[in-house]
Amino acid sequence: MDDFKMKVDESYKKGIEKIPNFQKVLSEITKTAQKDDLSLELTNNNLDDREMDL
Amino acid sequence: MKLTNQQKCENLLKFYDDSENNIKADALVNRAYIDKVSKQTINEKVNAQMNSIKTEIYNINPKFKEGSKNYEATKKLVSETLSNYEQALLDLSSFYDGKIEQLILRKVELESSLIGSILNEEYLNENIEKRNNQKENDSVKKSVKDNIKAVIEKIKNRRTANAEVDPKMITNLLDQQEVAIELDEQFSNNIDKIIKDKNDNKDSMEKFEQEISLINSEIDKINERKKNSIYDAMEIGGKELTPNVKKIKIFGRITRFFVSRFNTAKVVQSTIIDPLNERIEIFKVNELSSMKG
Repeated sequence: MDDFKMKVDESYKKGIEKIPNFQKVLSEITKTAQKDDLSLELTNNNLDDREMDL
Repeated sequence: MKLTNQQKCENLLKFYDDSENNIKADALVNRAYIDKVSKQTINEKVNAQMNSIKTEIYNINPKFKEGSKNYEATKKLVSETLSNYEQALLDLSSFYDGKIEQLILRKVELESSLIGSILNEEYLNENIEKRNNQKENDSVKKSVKDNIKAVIEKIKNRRTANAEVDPKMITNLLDQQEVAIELDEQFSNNIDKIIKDKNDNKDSMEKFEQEISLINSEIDKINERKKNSIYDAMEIGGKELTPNVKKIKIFGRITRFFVSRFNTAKVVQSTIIDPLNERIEIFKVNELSSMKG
């Protein structure tokens, strides 16, 4: 069963890795959960900053 | 009450952690259940075989006692044959269980992709909402751009009237206007890309759900096929579990007087154990080998 548990862990990881940009998404969500709304503000590739500069 | 972004993200993280634990636990429980079904079915089959052997031994010699010393040789023989019989059934169930295990692992992979897609969808929704809020400010931006344009026009007019105008100012303003146009295009491309990503993500989620549903039904089918296959294995004639080993009619007519003259152990071996061993070997060579390829 331990061997199967390892296979389950590997399959889970494999499935998650198939989602494009998932690590980035998870990281953004984690940051936002920890630091209030600041992190999601950074998701626009600095577009907002450039607009503000204008 | 509307949730803040922080609360939404906290809920999403909890959902992600809980889902990971549930998916993995579910896979382990499913695997254990598959094993349990195999063991139960095999035990049932081996017990039925053992009972039918006992019945036949008593048919051969009604005076034969299990506790008797004379029974020890037969007991050893029966035990070895039943172990062999059980092993053949275990090999058979392993073939099916291996297939089911692969399906369970594939299901875990799809379920984790589905969870990832759900989080991704929330993230993309959040981005679209932000973009839409940003779009509401477009009117303000437009008026700013119009102002820039008006100023440029004024400067141009002053220049035409030979009034002094710093050329750098014009260049600067023109650059800023170009940047504004460029940003508009970027914004438009960006939101189109997010919407496309969201649609792609939705399509993927539907595919994951469909495949998971197919796998669930396939697991049930293979599990059922496995049970039937175990019940049918090494049976003679009909497809149902044989209640007794093939009855040896000649001994049914033997009277108590003649029974004592037979060497029961030898008769049991030649009429019950040997044919059963032969069936086990035929099963291993034919059915099991062809299954394993």
